Parts: sequence; C-alpha cells; structure tokens
Amino acid sequence: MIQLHEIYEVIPLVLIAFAACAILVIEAFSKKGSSAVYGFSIITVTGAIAASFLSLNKELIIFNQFLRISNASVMFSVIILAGILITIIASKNYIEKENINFGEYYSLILFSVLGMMLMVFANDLLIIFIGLELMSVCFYVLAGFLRLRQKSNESALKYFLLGAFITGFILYGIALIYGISGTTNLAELYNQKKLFTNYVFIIGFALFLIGFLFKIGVFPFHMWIPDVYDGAPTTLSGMFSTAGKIAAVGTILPIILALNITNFKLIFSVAAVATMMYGNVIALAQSNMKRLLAYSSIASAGYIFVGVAAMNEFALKGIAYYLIAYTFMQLGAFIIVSILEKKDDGSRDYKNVDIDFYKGLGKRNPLMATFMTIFLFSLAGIPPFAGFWGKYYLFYAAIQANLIWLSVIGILLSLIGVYYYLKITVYMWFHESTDLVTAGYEKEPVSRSGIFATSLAVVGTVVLGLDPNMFFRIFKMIAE
Amino acid sequence: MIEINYYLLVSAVLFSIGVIGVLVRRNAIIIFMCIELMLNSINLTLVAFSSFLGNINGQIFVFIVMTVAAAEAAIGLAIIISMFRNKESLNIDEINILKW
Amino acid sequence: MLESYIPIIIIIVIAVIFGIVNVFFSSLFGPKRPNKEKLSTYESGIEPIGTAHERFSVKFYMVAVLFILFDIEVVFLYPWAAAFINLESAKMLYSFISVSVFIVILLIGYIYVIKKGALKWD
Repeated sequence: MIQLHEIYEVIPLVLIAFAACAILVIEAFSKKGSSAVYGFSIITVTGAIAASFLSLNKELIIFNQFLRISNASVMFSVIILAGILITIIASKNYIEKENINFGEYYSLILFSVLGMMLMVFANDLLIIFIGLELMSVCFYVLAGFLRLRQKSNESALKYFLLGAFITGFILYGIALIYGISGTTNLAELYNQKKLFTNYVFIIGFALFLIGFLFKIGVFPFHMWIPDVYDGAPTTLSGMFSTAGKIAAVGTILPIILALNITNFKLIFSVAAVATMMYGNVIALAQSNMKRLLAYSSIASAGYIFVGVAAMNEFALKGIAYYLIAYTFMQLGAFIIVSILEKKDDGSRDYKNVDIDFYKGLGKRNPLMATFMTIFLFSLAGIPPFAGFWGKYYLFYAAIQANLIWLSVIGILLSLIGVYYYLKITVYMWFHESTDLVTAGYEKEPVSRSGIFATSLAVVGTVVLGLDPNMFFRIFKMIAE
Repeated sequence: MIEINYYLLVSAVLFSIGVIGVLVRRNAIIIFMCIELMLNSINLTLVAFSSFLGNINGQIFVFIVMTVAAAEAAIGLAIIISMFRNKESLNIDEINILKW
Repeated sequence: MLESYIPIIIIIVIAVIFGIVNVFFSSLFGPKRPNKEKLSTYESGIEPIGTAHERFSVKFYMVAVLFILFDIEVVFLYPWAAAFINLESAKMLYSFISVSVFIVILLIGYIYVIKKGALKWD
C-alpha cells in the first residue's frame, strides 16, 4: 500500500501531472486562455524544479518499489526540467508566429515531461515502459503539431512508425528479461547473479538496449533524427534533442552501471566512434540549419557514449556535466533558429532556416548573432564555454578507463565538427547578407520572451564554462 | 499441458512476421497493423512466462501494454489522417520531402 | 502426441477436396444464362448506388479513435471489480480511492473531448 508521506517525495511529478490535466480543462472551457496557460506552465515547471531539490540526499524506494529517488535521478530530472523551462519560455512567441497557439501545446509538453521524469525515477521495467510511452506518444503529436505543413506531418509519421516499431523491440526485451529473471523490479534484478551467463537474458537486454540507443540516436539507429528534427516545429526540435535524449540517457545509464556489463565496452566504443564520425561528417554537407543541428546532436550522442563506454565514476560526472552543458547550448541554438524563422504566410514550408540566411546576421541582428556564436563555439568545444569542459571530462574518463584510442579518435572527430560550426560563425560576421532572403526580415523584432529564454541559455553556457565545478558545487550545497 | 517452448515459439514467429511486415509493406496503415501484431505477440510471451513462473506481474504488464497500444493506435490513426489530408496518399515511398 | 492430430488432418484434406470438387464441377456443368438484373450487386433488394469503395467521412475515424481510447480502460476496471469484493474493509477504501483517481483522470479527458466538440456529428 502507498503511504501518504510517499506522495511528498514525488511532489514534482504530482505537480506536473496536475498542471497538465488542469491545462486541458482550462483549454476546453475558455476560448482564448492561452496566455494564462503559458504563465501557468512556467510557474509549474519552476515549482517542480524547486520541489525536486527537496528530495535530494534521500535514497528511497517508494510506491510499492516502483519508484526510486536517488541523487542521480533527481539531478537528471532537474536537467530535464531546466531544458523544458527554457523551451516553454521561448515557445509563446513561436507558436503565435506559426498560428498554432493552442493550450494543448503546453499540456502535451507537460505530459511528456511527466513521462521523462517517471523514466528517470523508475525502479521497475513497467514504469520505464509507461514513462517511455508517455514521452514518445506526446512527442509524436508534438512533431506533427503544425498540421497544415507537410513537412511536419511527414516528420510525425516517420517518428511515429519508427518509434512504435522500436517500442516493440523494447517490450520484447522486457518480456525476455522478465521470463529469465522472474521479476521486472530493477533492484531485484541487480541482486541476481549470473544473469549474463544466460543467452536469452543477453538477447533480451540487447533488445532493450537497442530501443534506448534508438531514442538517444546512436549510430545504427540514428536515421530518424535529421528527418524528425527538420520537420518538427523548431522549438520542439530543440526539446526532442535535449530533454528527450537526456531522459533516455538518464534511464539507461544507471542500469548499465549497476549491471556492470564489461563485455559491452567494445560495442559501446565502436558505437561511439561510428556515431561521432557519422554526425560530424554528414553535418559538413548540410545547407539547412535545423538539419545541421540535428546532425550535431547525433555527434553529441557519440560523445555521451564515449563516457558510457568508459563506465567509471569520472564518466558519470562527465556525462552529467555534458548533458547540462548540452541542454543549454543545443536548446539555445534551436531557439535562435526558431526566433529568426519567418512568420507563417501559408506557404507550408519553414522559411529562413537555410545557412545562407545567416550570412550577415551580425550586422542585421547583433544580439542574436552574438548569442548564436556563443552556442556554436560551445558546441564546437572552444575553451571558455561549457561544451569544452563537457568534452574534456568525457575524454578524460575514457583515458582513465584505458580507452586512449577512443579519446584520440573522439578528439580528432570533434575537430571536424569545429569546421562547420565556425563556417556559420564566419557567415554571420564576415559575409554580406544576400538581399533575396532578407527581404521582409527587418520588420520582425525579436520578442522579449525569446531574448529572455536565449539569455538563460547563454548564462548557463558561459557561467558553467567559466567555473566548471559550479554545477556540482551548487548541487552539493543544496544537498547539505 | 503444452510446454512453454511452444508458446514462445509461436510468439517469436508472430513477432518476426510483424517485423518483416513493417520492413516490406509500403502502406502506412498496414505497417501500423504489423506493429500491433508485434505488440500482441509480446503479450503472448508475457502471459506464457507469467503462467510458467506462477507470477502475476507478467499479466499486469499485458494490461498496460494493451492500453498503451490503444493509445498509440489512436495517436497513429490521427497522424495518418492528418497526413492523408495534406498528401492524399499513404504510400511511404511517396512521403519523401525530408531527406538529406 | 502428434499422432492424435491425424484424424484432424484427414478431415481437413477431405474438406478441401470436397469444396474444390463441388465448386469446380458446378461451374463446369451448371447452366449460365446471365442478364442485367442477375449481374448487379445485391443490396437487399434496393437499387445499388455508386461503388462499394467509397471514402468514409473522417467523423467515423474520430468516433472510432475515441472509442478505442475510452473502451480499453475497462481492462483496468474489470480486474479491480473482481478483486474488490474479497478485500478487507481497510483496503477497500484505499482501492476505491485509487480507482476514483483513475476515473477522474479519464473524466478530464472526456470533458475535454465533449467541450472540443469531437463527438458532434455535424
């Protein structure tokens, strides 16, 4: 039986679930309630972040052993919520611009956050499955939210068909794990010895892992990423590439560490190399900003998997740091793309997302160009910014784990990445803008909410970069 | 009493049929039906294991899977309808404006 | 064990042969005098209108989709209802509250559907 005091431990979850349902009701009863809904969802997410800190420094298994509160899971959920907060703040202007100003937008985002947090708090394969599906189903709808636009439809359909297909694999894996171990509880699963001598269990775990590799976008399972991120509404592409991936990493990482599968080290290393190579090399040839960022997010999944392959305590710290840095810089870049995107004129295509449009941005809109430069430098891994320290920690962890070849290859491949990030920076500051694409651009001032959201991301990127230990220090301080 | 192996074999075969269907068929609705077939074959596996182990967890899992499959079906049909309204086709070879 | 299936296989074989022989020979020897009335589609005696491959209104899909969603939830209520009677009284209230929360969440969805007019036919 669930005790009442257990509910206090999951206030963030309850808060978000309640808000998501409430928004649906508000939306049903009011004709034009969207700006109230906007404020309401911002307040909810902020409240959930604050409430998350209450559960720090507790090692608890609650709700009939279904949920597990630990420092790692609280940290992951805070990172996810931070990403979501920035997304929601930046969304208002964008959805008004694209004529999709419906309350369901916020409700779906909150439901998907609920799924993500269930995933990272899960102590049972059942909860992982429910959380994953709650997240994915909301993502399918959100990807197709611009329902008059063929690209958006196509992205939703591709995401849905592939995602549902992969769900089948995850479930089959869970079924086999359950059949061999006789339990779906993760804590009980970790206690069983000799699971990895049973080949059915290995197949089951491999299928389960494949599902998560798909959600993270690691090499052989990455093909959906560029298409989905290109077609989905731009702010949401940012959310998929940060919060969605972080939830998947935050779920699978503790399982990999607890099961301590050293045999998979080589597979993870090879997957990491292939992912980094694919993401960075194909990104060189992109002419669309959203696709370029999508490929850069594939490359980032590769860096994260360098840490996963290392599987030591440095790696855990490195991955956590990289994820928070990645949230700020990747989300910030996507939000700037969404701010600069042209207003919906019924043409059913995303306008002004080509790289050529960014030529001469430094003269037209110095603020956004400066912010974009910071995000791109950080993504490229240029020292004063957070992205550099993220990569540094990950490659350091790989060296500590005797995977020197992996970190050498990783550093070389991330140097390829520097080229295309710098190319856009050069376009922005040292090229003249082409008149054709900029026609009609000047009339649209950047909204205050957009500036606020990107400033948050910039502050995160710069401050974390200047003082890389601050994140962990703050966390420790609050914990004590 | 039929051994558990037979149940597992049937469900594995059904799962494979579903996977092959997803890979070779070209109509979005039929692909979706193949995915449902995969999910139902997994339900069979779970129930077989549950009865074999004498453990009720597997059957509870089946309830959840059924509900989730229904939610996915609803969302999937809605997405397919909105696609059809814009494109007048469900052939996934023609759904190709997003590439490179 | 497999021997016990032999009678079934024999019956299947006989049934298939019987069906094929009958259909084949009746189409071979039967009289064929077609006319317009005979060839037209049978619709319970009413004049057939248009083809059978018509497009359905999207409203049917809406109702079907909503039906799937609200119908499948019974999966959770049935086991609960069956188990409820055997619970001790202390747990009865607890389980009743749990299910009420579930129903309330469903109800929110239902209110949303009604208010958005998804069930309006015209």
